[in-house]
Amino acid sequence: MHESLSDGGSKSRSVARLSDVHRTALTPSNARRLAEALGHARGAADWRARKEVEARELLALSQIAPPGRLDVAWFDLGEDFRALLHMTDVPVPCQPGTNNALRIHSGATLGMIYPSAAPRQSLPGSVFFQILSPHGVWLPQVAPPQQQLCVAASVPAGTPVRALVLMAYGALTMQSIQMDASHPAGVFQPAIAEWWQSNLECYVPLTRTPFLGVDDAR
Amino acid sequence: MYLTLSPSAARRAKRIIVDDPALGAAKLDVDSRIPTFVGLGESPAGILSELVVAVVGVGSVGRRVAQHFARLGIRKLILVDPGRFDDQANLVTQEILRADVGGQFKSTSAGRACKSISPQTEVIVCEGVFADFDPMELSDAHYLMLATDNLPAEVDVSRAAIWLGLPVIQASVHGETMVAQVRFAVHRPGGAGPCLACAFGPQEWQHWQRETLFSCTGGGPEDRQQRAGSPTVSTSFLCSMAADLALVQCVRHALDLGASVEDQGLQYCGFTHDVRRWALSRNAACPLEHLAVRRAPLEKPVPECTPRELARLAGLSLHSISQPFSLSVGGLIYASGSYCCGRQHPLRRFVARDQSVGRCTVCRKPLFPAQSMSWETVPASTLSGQGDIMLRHLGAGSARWALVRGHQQGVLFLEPGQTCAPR
Repeated sequence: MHESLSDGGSKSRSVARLSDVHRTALTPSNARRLAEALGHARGAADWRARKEVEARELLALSQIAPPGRLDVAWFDLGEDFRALLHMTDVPVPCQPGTNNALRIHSGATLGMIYPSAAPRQSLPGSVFFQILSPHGVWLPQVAPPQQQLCVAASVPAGTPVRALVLMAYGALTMQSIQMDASHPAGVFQPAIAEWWQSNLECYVPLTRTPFLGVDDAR
Repeated sequence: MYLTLSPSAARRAKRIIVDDPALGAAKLDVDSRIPTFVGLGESPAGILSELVVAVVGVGSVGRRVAQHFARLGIRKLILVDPGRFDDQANLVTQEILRADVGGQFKSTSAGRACKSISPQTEVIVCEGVFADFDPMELSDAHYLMLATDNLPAEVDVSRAAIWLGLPVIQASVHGETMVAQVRFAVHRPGGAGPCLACAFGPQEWQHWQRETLFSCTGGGPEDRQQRAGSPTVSTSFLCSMAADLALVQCVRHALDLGASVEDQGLQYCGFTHDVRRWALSRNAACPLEHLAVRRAPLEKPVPECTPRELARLAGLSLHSISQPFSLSVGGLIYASGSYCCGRQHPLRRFVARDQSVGRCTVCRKPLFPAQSMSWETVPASTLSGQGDIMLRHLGAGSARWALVRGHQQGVLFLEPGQTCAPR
């Protein structure tokens, strides 16, 4: 495991673009974490190379994202690419209280697995993320009890980690939401989908701020 | 659900040992009927009676394969198939009677037939897909026969064959062109041999991908089982021919008769009367990990070993940067932690899948390992600080095997006394 280290305030204050991920040099601390993780990476050569690219991009994404948006607490390249992600500045809907008012939690902790099959096989959107915190996330595409977050009915082969993180952000903030239980993609929790159908205008989306942006356009 | 075959497959299919008390002390007399093949110099019955064979897919081709092996009086036969006889159309291609069509599992039906033919053969049946089958059942097998008509099974069987180091013989037919085909792939030390998936092109991988696609609503093994049950469109005699050719290749290999049949394809086309042979070759771009796994018995039970000991016996160092390795233990998962009520609860031990690991100190609900903190194959770096702790103290007291995987090779450690098929 590779603990989060301070990156010396190198995060950009201006709005970055996703394409900046490729141009962003890793901070010395992130470069060290990546080098150490690569030392323990196992698997076929092409999978190890892929894991290196994905890990580098994830770390770069955390650097160019606004402060608090994404923190890579640890990551592991031993087998599948795994990471523990903190999104502290992200609104997350939680189970309504007794007055039926939605509780909005600021921030989420996600466990991420990018399996070795992902580069060449379309996978269900629920295999990548588990919401570790908060508890009781009020989204129809979250599967109880482990709170797997479904980011799409299926994720095309080769979808990079950076795109998956954006999809997770969109799902948590309800910028993208599927609440039709009769849709072929389906939902994990029809009762929550029904609740949202009755309360759509009040909350959705929870924020219009893009992942790499700082202003809510609402 | 994302499915992959590993030493601890996600689920377990029903496993049955076929027995028939009515058979009493009956025995198939193989010696008096099997010829002494040219060049052998002795009766082959002794060699054949030691064979252990697994047949995956026990339909129109696989059932015949299984029965052929039973008639050779082999030691052990393992049959894997999730399908049932639920359609009279099964009579067109399968070697069954009308009375057999009544919803019973193909694997169980074939198992009973094989046991009736050869009472001395140990027959084990798995009523499920191969992905649900515990691959360790194959630890004493000599051959893996494949007679399914779906690519996911081919991929799963290829993966198992690679890390168990088993030869795979695939028998298949193409009814429209009257083709019967056999492919014989042998995985060799160093990962040099081909696997069945080495011959896959983009189309095959796309097809494989479609077969394993699940949405949030469906998900799970049912979809896969339904797809695995698609019927063979062929004729009885063509299926029989594929089974016969597969047996010829297998028996030649087992008895070392004639030229080698390893890494070869053999095909008969009924339209042209052509028999074609071709070499199977290793595809460097094959996405399956061609890990060469050797099997090694331990001098003490697996739970009494430490991760460091296993690494040393495998010729690796626990924290080697140049040769990182991973460890799988007895079908268990290694859980580093669990999350509930916004808190992390450290675990750092092996647990059974879906096993509760205690209760949350806040909400008192059962705790389960966090998915992202659970490993079927745990990297050595994750076991930091636990290298010298016996596996039984790490929760793996029930483990009967351990697999150490390095970059290019792996070692499968078995309990003392567990059979290792001769390589």
